[in-house]
Amino acid sequence: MGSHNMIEWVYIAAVVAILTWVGADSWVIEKYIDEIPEDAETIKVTAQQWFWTFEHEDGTKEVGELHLKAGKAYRFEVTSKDVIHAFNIPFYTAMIDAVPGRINKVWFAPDQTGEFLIQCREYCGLLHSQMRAKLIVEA
Amino acid sequence: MIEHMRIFKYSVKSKSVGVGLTSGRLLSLILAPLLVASLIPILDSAFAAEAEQLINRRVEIWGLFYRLMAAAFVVGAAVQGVMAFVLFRFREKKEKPQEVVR
Repeated sequence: MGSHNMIEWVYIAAVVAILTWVGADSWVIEKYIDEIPEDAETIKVTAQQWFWTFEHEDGTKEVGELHLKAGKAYRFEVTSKDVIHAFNIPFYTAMIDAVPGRINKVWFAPDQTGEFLIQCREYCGLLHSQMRAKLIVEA
Repeated sequence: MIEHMRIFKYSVKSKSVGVGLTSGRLLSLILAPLLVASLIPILDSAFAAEAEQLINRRVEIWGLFYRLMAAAFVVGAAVQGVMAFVLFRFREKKEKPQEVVR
């Protein structure tokens, strides 16, 4: 062990250990995030140039605004009517592509009340930058 | 010439020691931290699953981001440090230029 090249071996071990930890940690967090809670309420999200439509489980629809309750889990089933969009709520780090003919799922549980931005994150045409909606989280 | 011989001897010696390191202790040196590092988050998730509480996605994702950033900086520092050390060692091992005496 008293060799002059021990530093290289320690370096290799340390770097490999850190990268393994990074991989394992990422895998665990991704597994956490992918698991949608069974009691989550489903919201159907439809994107089209250039606005968002939200449909609750009871059939009520909202356009450009979404009302949710804090402390409850919501599953979003996201699709598009025309081109590819991306459903993004930056504050709650939720993002998923809205693809025509396909239903993508994402979930989160809002923990803070207030107004938050919903924004399209995939360039979808002339008014892409204006394709926003308001998320209102109530107590 | 003597200096050259010394360097030659040194390199041969180091090679033999290097080969000796690959067995046993070196393997455990590499594998032990690997094993511990990969087990920690898995055990952590196992205990968290028992609690069955709703995870805060925002906190988890940003937490992971900061941990990965810290890991990237540590790896970067380790790589830079070892490179500097290896260069320094190489420089010190090289034969020093002789002063010209006229």
